[in-house]
Amino acid sequence: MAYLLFSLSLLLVYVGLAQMLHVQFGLLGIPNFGVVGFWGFGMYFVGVLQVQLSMSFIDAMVLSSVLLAVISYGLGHLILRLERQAILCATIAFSAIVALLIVTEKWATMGVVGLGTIRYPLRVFEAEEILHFVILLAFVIGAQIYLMRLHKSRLGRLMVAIRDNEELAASLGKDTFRVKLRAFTITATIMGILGGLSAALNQFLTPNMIVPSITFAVWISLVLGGKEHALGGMIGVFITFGIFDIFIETYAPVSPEFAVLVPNIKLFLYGALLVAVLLYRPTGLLDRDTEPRDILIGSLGAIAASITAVVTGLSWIAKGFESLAARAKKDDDA
Amino acid sequence: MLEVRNLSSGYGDVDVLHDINFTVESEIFAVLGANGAGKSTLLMTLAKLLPLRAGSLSFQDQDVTETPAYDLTAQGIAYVPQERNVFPDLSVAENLSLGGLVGTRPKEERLAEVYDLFPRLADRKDQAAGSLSGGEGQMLAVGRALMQDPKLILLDEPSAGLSPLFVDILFEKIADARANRGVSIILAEQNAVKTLEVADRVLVLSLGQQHLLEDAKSLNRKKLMEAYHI
Repeated sequence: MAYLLFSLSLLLVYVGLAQMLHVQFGLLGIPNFGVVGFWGFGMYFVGVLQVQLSMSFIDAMVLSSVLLAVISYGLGHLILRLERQAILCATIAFSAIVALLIVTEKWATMGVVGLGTIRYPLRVFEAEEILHFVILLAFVIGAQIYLMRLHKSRLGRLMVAIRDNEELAASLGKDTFRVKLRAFTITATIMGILGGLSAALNQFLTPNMIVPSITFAVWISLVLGGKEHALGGMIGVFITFGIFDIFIETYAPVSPEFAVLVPNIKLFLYGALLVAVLLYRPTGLLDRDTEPRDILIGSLGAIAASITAVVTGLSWIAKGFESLAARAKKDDDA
Repeated sequence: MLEVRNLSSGYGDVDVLHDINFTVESEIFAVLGANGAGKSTLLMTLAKLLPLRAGSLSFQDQDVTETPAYDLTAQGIAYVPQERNVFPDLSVAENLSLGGLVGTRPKEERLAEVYDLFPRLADRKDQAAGSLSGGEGQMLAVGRALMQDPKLILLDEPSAGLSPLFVDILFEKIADARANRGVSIILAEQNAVKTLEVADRVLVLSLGQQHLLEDAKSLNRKKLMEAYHI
């Protein structure tokens, strides 16, 4: 139960990151490839303030968020007028700098030894993990409601206009750079807040948590779910992280001796799904105009189909290996 | 209304426009010239999407040389580029509503006027702008500019790539916007014949230089050809 709660909380963190990336890339066309940098900055900064300076979680979170907002604003000012390729490189560089500082600044981060223990922000009875999950859930639901309203608002349309043709959008009477800078600063800071909440979730932080695969996972979820739809990031994370990382890892019907194969098979199926979506639905599972009813039916169908395919696939593969092993054993005996 | 003094402009290391001078009053002011003459560069510079390298601009007696594009729009200048002039992922209605980000009159009132001028847009209001035909796209671009309640529209080659029928309709609408709404228009065009039918005055550019500035009525074919071929 504790493991499932941890996994589901982590899933919500990924959903939050995908929601923020949706605003940055899906609405504004800012290719932030340094998601893990903003998330990791928030996570480690909250951790360092709590562990090294005995600061309360809330104080640490506020200080971390203010600092990250200033950094994001400065970074945005430097890069948001550049070409998309340059923004992509600059954000990767930012995340690489964060990861490097975490390793080298041992006086604060404890380097590769790791930093802990980080306490949960709220401790009520023995339900702190559940409470933390509820905080994350409320955060994600709140962000989702805001995103859906944003899509129908003038600001949302202006963001799409900026993404499609910034020069033309500049002639609409709005300062497009300011819109981009504000949105980038706010969403990057929220990525850091999600990092801070992840610090409490992980409790013990090590530099190998700040790896590019987190950025890729969030990007793949968004692309798979539909980068232009308000629900795209959430649906993408449910399918990738929910089905592949939680469901398969935890509940796949594979005998223990073949469990070691699961991560590889999972990656193979994950890749196959991504290729299929990119081939047949390049805009992702949800288009910009996909209706809520179709989303519900489509999502349930996609989840059911994915689970069935994965479970059946895994069973067949496992059975195949088992029969091979049995035959080898028989040959050995003979 | 708009005064251009000694304007020079270009892209990167390349100078395109040199020492351009003219004023635009309440009129349709045509900018003619062959391909590469600098018509689009001039309009982009006037819209402040390209920086001035030299010279000055004033609009309604206020110096706007350093004014950014978005502020200029708020002051009443709308720009319609030649290409990529609609937001393809947004619907017709959403494109038009973006034009209503500036201006004080109720947006619904302005929208009704644009639909009245271009009934075809009303028929396609929920359709993605990217799926419109070339002519409908141009109508949408002009409609969005009108939504801004502008005092001056910078219109860059609206007839490019359109069938003769659509060109006729579009020029009729341009003349209508001028006559009934009092909006001034700077119209950059290659289609000299159609342009001279609606224009009050004409500026001819050739290789980034200003070669002729004259009333459209007194302009004869010989003068025009000379200006084009200098």
